[in-house]
Amino acid sequence: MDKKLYLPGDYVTTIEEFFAGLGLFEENGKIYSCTSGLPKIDLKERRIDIEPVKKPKSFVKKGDIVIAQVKDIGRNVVELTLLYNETEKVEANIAAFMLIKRSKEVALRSIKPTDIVRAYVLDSEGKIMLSMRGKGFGILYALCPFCMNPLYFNEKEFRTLKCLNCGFKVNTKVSSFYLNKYKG
Amino acid sequence: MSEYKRVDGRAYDEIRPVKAEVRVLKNADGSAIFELGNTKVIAAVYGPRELHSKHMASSYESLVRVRYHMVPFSTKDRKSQPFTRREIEISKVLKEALSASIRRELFPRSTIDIYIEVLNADGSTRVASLNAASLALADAGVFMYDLIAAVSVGKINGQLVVDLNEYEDQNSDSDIPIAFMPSLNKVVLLQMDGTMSLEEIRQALKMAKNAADKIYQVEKDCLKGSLESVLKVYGLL
Amino acid sequence: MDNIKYNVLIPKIRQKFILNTLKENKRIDNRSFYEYRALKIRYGHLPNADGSAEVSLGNTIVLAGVKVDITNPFPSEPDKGIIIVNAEFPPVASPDFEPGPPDENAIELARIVDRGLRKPEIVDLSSLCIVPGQKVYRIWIDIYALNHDGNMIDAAGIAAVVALMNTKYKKFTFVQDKGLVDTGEKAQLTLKNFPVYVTHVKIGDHILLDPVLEEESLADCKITTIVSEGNLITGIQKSGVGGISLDELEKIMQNSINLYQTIKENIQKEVSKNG
Repeated sequence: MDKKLYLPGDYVTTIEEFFAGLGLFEENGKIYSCTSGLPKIDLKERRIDIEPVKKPKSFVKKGDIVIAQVKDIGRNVVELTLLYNETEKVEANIAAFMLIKRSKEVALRSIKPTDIVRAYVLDSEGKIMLSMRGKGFGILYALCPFCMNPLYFNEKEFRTLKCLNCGFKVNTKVSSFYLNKYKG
Repeated sequence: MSEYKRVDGRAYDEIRPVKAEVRVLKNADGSAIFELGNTKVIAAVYGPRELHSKHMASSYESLVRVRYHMVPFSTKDRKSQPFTRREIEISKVLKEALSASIRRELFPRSTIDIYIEVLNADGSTRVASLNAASLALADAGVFMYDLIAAVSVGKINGQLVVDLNEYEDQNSDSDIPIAFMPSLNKVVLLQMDGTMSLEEIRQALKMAKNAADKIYQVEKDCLKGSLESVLKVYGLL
Repeated sequence: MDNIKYNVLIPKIRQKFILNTLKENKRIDNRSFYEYRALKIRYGHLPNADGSAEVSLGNTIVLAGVKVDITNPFPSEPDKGIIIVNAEFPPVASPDFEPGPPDENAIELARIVDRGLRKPEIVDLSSLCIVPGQKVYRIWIDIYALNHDGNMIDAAGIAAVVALMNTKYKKFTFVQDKGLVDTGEKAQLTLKNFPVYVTHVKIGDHILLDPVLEEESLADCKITTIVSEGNLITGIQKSGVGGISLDELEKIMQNSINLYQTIKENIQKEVSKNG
């Protein structure tokens, strides 16, 4: 089974022998490949995956780190568009959602449409749900809502973005990878 | 029953020379060219990507959209109409056949757009389109149940023949375009035009299955060749 | 491209109910698997049309009208008349239909009906020629859905055939120097064959005849077989997202042929009743 390139529709094994993981599907007790790639076998768990040579666009799975742009904000939920899957290194263009625990008015100040964020995938079945908890996750790039100049981040001032043009300041969840940083 | 000899000297169950190539267009997420003799089709896949008109999106599965189109210089007389009723119907049946092969439940709220252009038409364009589109989907890495192998069979002067060319298509008593997912033994496209008895259809489908298996092999070899070259670059194979 | 789904979105719980009913070998309207709904035919009731028929199959109602005019023949067939089939799903027929030009579903329906009429030459096209190469009759068949409750194809097929059967058109003759002259007579269109459109759907492992809308939208795929006199098949169309095995296909085709006589007699009985 090793080092063999499987193509969609290729018979791989039976359900008695292995659990079908990623890139596989079951039909009448048999396991077939649904992608092109090399097999990855976990003998302990009796699980087999096919590691795709080329992942489809917008491919995401639980735990992936992604870059996304905010599109709309509801009362408790932010709607985003995924742009890139950092873990799998594939481009994406698909809707995703993120829950927030703030009222809309506060949320609108701290996160707003056009913001670009770095987040990880909580759930990819059905809706793609994201979260920004943890270091490194948060806003990557944002514009000032008053003068549309880029906001800057000072590492000394925790969780604060500042507009160097008009002086606007906002308290929000900033990623440690924020693009524009200034000292002082 | 008069003896019919094929215009291009093929055996009755012989398909025309098949050529397939993937990754022919850089902008598309997946693309393929498929040739059956002089019939030449190019297909491009974009997506899975976000759907802009949200009301059409399904939260359970991805939407598949197919556009089958013949370029104006693909036929003997210039085809001036931009989009004919025939093309709309073929787009619909191709969409349904391709949807059946895609694991759409893995890409909810998205759309997979498949654009097919017939560059040169010499009969059997819809089955060539289906083969091209299926290869393009595999090239895009879209998760799918199986590659589709499609072929046409027909009856001309009482003789069953596979893979009709333009002349045979126009002079046939009947023709059947049919598409299989060979490893799952499923038919995903079937149409028939003309008159046949049930026994003849039975035989025709058997011939089609054999021819489709040959096409399936060509598709697999084509895909394998392209992927192995990628894997070798990374030293994985 | 139009991608509006005509499939009514059936709630999950209703889907489960339908599937469970099928498991007990029953259908939601208590029909057996190979049973047609009640057929009603009215024809010739629209005087301005040269031929017309209204067919109801259970709650599905389809109207077909025929108009005959004169035109130039196709250069490839100079001595043959022309048949054109059009179909429209107007908004009257279903809350899911929208106004506008025919979409892919309507076009598909028209082309399936056309398939059963054109290549098997149900109408003797040579008899529709007035002056070879110059003037021929052109038969327009327009199909209108009035109420959509599944299996529109079979109903449309019956409507088209019955409308053609009672089509009377103005007879013209060609007179030198005068051109086309109306003879004042009306000619009756005669049919050479009697095609019957038989639609089955596959839901899971079950095969059902004449699906209602809910069954149709739940189906894996839909197979329409067109059967003509002499147990010949004159057209097939598979539609719907889903695969089907060759064995199942054969079963469907065999069943369609077996049903041909019954359906034909049923149609003829209805036609003679409402003369």
